[in-house]
Amino acid sequence: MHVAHIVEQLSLSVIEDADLAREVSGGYASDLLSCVMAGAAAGNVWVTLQCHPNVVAVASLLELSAVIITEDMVPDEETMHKAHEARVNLLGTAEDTFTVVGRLTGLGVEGNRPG
Amino acid sequence: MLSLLIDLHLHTVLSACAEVEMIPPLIVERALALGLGLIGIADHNCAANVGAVIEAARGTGLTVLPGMEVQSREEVHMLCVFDTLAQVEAWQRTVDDALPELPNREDYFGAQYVVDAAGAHRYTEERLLATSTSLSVEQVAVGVDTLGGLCIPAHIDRPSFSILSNLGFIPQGLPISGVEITPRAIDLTKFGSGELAIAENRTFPRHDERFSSVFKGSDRAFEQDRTTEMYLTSVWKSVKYNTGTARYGVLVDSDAHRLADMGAHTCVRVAAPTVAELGLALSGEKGRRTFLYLPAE
Repeated sequence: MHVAHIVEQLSLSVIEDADLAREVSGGYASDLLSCVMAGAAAGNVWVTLQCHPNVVAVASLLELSAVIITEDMVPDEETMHKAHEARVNLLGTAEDTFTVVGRLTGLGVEGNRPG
Repeated sequence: MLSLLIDLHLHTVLSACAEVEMIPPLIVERALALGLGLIGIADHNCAANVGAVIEAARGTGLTVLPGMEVQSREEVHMLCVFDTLAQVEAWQRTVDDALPELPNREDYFGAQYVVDAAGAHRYTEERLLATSTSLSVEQVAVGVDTLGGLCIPAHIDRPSFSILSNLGFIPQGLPISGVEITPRAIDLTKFGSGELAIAENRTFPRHDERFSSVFKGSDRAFEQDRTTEMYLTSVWKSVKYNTGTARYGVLVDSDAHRLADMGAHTCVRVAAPTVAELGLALSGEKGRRTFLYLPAE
């Protein structure tokens, strides 16, 4: 599944369009970036309401396919600038994380198996 | 130069989670008993009890620096320390504007008391203080720095409300002088107990250079400081990665919410008990130094 399919199905806004043809390997949701660094896998779509510039650094470091920022949180200018530079797909929605994760699961996007 | 034991992170009865014993005269009495020369008052998002503690300490030789513990919009706790009440009041206006208008739920969180120097009740703060402001960590650090204060990410070893847990690593270019860890961060099993003993007679500086915490010096000094490295490793598995190439001074504060938790874990060598001198001590500049003392048990 490509990021573009998720954008269409969940009617997400595209804050930074780096490459929506990226393959989605699964999903991860947390607002604690230390947990994301330990728990998310390459190609995952990450659902969070955190929009600090470090979000982009973590997404880039882990080569995540996209970040979905929930509850209409507006990323700082610095975050958007960094997303553009690091070519990170930044997506947005008014829905909360619970709802977005439920809809992703409905699309067949799965979480990572523990261990 | 003075050698001062410091504890920059103390809560008073204004913090809902603090015990009612955290009133100015008892905080001052306990600080003096511990041999502390300088304390910082850091209630959640509010400095309303700072003046009372300063007054309670008058004539005792104990320096009380006004401050608060601000919660950023990323839920990161940041220690904000100033020299004067005027500075902290200016900072309070910024924080007040950034604090949501939510009522405190005393039955759930506890009461938030504003008291006088004797500890007598003046009024009860009705706003919920221990919640996130709309300020980013950058806005907090820059705001405090601009006012001449010292901004220090609080208890970075904690799994919640800390810059490392919430943001993964310390953002580059943040104007901070150092980072704070809790006494609990120290893994005593990694050290021989003999190396940990705090000087009984409290004459300072009596320290082991291996416990020095000047991380902002040259990389070589950092690498050579094996004990320090082990110490940091025990603090946070990947702290070297998390802090990137920057070197931050480290201090240990008690973050005490009750008198028994107050402690003397950090000693600074400074020319005066001021924010500017503490900044130099955390950076290890101009002969100012920070030394960490581990629990005596």
